Amino acid sequence: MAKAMAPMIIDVRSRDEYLREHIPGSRNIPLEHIQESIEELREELWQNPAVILTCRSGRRAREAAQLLKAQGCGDVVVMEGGIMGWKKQGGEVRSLKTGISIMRQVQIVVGALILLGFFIEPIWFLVPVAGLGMLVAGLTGTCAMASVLAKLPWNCPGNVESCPIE
Amino acid sequence: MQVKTKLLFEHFWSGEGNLSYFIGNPENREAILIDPDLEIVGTYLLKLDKDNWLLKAVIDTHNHAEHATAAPLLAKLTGAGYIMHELAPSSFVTDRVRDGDERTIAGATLRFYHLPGHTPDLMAVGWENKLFTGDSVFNRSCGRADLPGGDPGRQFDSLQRVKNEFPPQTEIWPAHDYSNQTHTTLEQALRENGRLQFTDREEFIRFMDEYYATNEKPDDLEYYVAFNAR
Repeated sequence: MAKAMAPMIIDVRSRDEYLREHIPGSRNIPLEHIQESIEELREELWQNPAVILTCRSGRRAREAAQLLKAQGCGDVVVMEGGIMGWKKQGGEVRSLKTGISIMRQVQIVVGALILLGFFIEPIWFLVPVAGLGMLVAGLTGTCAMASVLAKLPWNCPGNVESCPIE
Repeated sequence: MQVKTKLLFEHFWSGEGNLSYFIGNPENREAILIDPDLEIVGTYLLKLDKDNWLLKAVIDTHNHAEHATAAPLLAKLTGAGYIMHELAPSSFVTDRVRDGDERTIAGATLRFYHLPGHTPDLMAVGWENKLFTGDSVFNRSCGRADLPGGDPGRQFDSLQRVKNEFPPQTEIWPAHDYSNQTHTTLEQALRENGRLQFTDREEFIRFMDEYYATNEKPDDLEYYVAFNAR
């Protein structure tokens, strides 16, 4: 009988979400970067049948699985329920970062900008600026504010460099 | 005298009429899966985990052309052996068997019968009075022979072999059924299965060629043949 082998778990959430909480040994390739890694992934997936995709709830992982299949990488299994389901089943997680997530920080800053612009007449333009920023973020899937916030000191713990990303 | 352990048996439906099978030994918790489908790999894994089964072997009756096999994944995750016929193309197979070979796994004695026609590597798995026929004999039909590697003449020979070699009480459990029927007996199939009524090889070949000439090929056929053969 052969030895049982741990699967390779690919977590397709953002880097920030991954750093905050992930399955030990899992590898982070954010959904928006799957396309860039497609050649390498095709080779890996064709040779390794024990690959499982995960995200927070399973939705993004299913999207990634469809993308991979469409690009000829084969059928890849999705962890139903994602990390939330994993934790519910008593699965272990590791955290390299604590505090409020980048997306929540974005929500706080945008909310504050809108309120300020609404109540303080001379800076009224903050309201449409915040609206435009959110619209562009939604349409392109890249949030400029999130990238700026990610560079702030409280979002860059020292041990991130040693973190096994990709 | 030692009392023989009664083994548990279960079937699973998936996709469009795919059937896969589970055999488990409640005494030592060892289990076997036959023709597992990747689409429902979570179902197998939950079952194995929940009831504390130790998967000893996964078996594919042939290189499937309609769906992705879960066998390599299950074999890697659990350490189970992966059994296929020696002509199977997959590089993940750990135990290649030939016609007439036997294996005793999880207390079940399995015997393998090479029945090419649907694919060159197709084998049926015999266990007790059950015959897991893959895509050779179906309940009311037989596997098509117009897909890559298929050969209607050899399919005819394989059907004749099932007709002649097995007792009428043999239960046929195929890899597919499109009318929600899990199994039949050979006795019943000899009466009701049109494909078993042919006695002339040339006539059968003509029939198969004509029947499948207008029949749509499965979706993503080439992809699955290549993916399962990797």
